[in-house]
Amino acid sequence: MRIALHSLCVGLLLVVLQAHARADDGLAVIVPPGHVLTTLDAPTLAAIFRRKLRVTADGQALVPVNLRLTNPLRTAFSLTVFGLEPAAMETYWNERYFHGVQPPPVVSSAEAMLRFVAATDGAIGYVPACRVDPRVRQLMTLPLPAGFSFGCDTPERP
Amino acid sequence: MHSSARQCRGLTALVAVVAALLGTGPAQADPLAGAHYELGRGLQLPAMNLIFSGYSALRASHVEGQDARLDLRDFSLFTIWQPSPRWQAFSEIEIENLFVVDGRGLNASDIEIAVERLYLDYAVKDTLTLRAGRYLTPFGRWNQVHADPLVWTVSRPLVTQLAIPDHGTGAALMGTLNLGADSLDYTLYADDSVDFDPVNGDADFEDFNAAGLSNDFRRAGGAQLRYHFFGERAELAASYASYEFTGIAGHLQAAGLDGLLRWHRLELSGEFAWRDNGRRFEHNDWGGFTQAVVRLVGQLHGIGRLEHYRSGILEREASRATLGLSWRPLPPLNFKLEYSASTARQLAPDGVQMSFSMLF
Repeated sequence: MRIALHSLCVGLLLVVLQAHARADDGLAVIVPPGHVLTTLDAPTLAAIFRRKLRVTADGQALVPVNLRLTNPLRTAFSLTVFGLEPAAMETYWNERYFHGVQPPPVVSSAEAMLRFVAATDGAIGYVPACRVDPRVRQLMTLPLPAGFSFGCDTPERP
Repeated sequence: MHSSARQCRGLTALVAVVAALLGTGPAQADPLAGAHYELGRGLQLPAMNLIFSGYSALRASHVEGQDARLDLRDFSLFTIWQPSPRWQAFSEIEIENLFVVDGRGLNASDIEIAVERLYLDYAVKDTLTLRAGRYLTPFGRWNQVHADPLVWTVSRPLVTQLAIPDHGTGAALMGTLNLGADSLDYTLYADDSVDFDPVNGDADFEDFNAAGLSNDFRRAGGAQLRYHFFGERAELAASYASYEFTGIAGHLQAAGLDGLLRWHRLELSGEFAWRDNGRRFEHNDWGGFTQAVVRLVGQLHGIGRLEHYRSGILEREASRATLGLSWRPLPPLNFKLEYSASTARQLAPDGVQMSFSMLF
C-alpha cells in the first residue's frame, strides 16, 4: 500500500513537472523553412507585427500572421511583444488602415497558423514552442507573460 | 508651357506607371478567389491584390449664427492596390455634401467629388519608400489621421486647419528607423501643386469660409520627424515647411511640434505651430491645442480640449474650449457629441455638434 502510494505521488509529480516544463517553453516565432530571415530581435519582430517593416532589403514581403483577437495565445504574444492587450491595438490599426496598411491576417488556431506559415512565402507567426514541427522553422522563442501557460496537452481553444 | 498641359503631363505620367504595373501582374483564373469583407477592414480581393474600403460621417450641428443642420458630409472611398511587395497604389475619393437638411429643407444638389489622396509608393528598401502623387501634408498629427471615425471630436482644432494646407501634390521620401524599442519616422516632401494639381486654388477650409483665401499650396518643401517611444504609446514630432500659398504672394515658413501619450485610461495630446508670414503681413500666425481624453466606462470616453489661434493673414484670433463624449461600441464605429465655446464666432462659432461615423 505504501509503495503504491509512493508510486502515485511520483507519477503525479512527473506529470506536474512535465506540464510545467512544457509551459515554460514559451512562444515560438515561426517562419517557413526557406524564409529569408535567419535571426530576429524583439524590436524587429514588433516592427514586423506593427507592419512598419513590410519588406526586407532584398524585396521579400514580410507577412505577419495573428490568431483571433480572443485567443489567449494572441493575448500572450501581444503582451510580450507590445506590452498591450490585443484590443488596445485597435486604435493603432484604425489609423494605419486609414493610410492603406492592413493589420496582419488572422487564422483560427495554432494548427492553422502552422499550415499558413508553412505554405506562405515571407510568413511569420507564433505557436506554443512545444507545437513546432518540421513544416516550419523556429526563429526565436519569447517568454510567456505571468499567468499564461500553453502545454501541448492543452486542447486548442480557437 | 501652358499650365493645363503641365497638369496633364503629371497625371499622364502617374497613370502610365499604374498601367505598366497592371500589365506586369499574372493573369488570375478567378479574380474573386478568396474575396471577403470585414467591417472596418474593407472588401479584400486577394487574387487581384485589391482592397476597397473607406469611411463616412453623418453630422448634426446647431451653432451660433447658422441654421441647425444634418449632413452626410464625408463619404470617402479608398482603393488600395499592391501588385508586388515593393509597389502600392492608394486612392481616396471623397464625395462631399451628399445631402444636407437645414432650415431650407433637404438639399442634395451640392454634391462634390474630390480626390483627397492619389499616390504610388515604391519601397526601395526596408527603411526607404518613395511616394509620388497627392498626399496629406505631413505637418502635425491630426491632419494625417483627420477622418471622423479616428479623431475624438467633430470639430477640428484651428491650428490643424490654418497653419498649413492639408494636401500636397508632388513627391516624398519616407521611412521608419528602428532604434531598439523605439522608432523614428521621417518624411521629406516636395510639392508642386500649381503644376500637378488640376484643381489647384479651389480648396476650402473645412469648418469655415475664409473669403479670398485658398487652402492650397502653390509650391512647398518640408520635413517631419516623429519619434515613437514608451512601447509606441508616446510620440513626439517636429514639422517644418517652407511654402507659397495659392492666391497670396510671398513666401511662408511654418514650424510645428506635436505630442501624444496613451497611458491606461488616459490620452493626452497637443499640437503647436508658428508661421512666419513674411513682410507683407503685420503679424505672424501661431497657435495650438491641448486635449485630454479619459475612458469613463466601457468604450465611453470624455474629452476636453483648449485651443488658441491667431491668424496674421486673416487678422483674427480665437480661443475655444470644447467638452465632448465619444462612444466607440466597436473599433470602426464612433458616436460623438460635443459643445464648444469660443471668443470669436467667425473662426470658431459656439454650439453643439454631434456625429456618427464609421470605417467600412
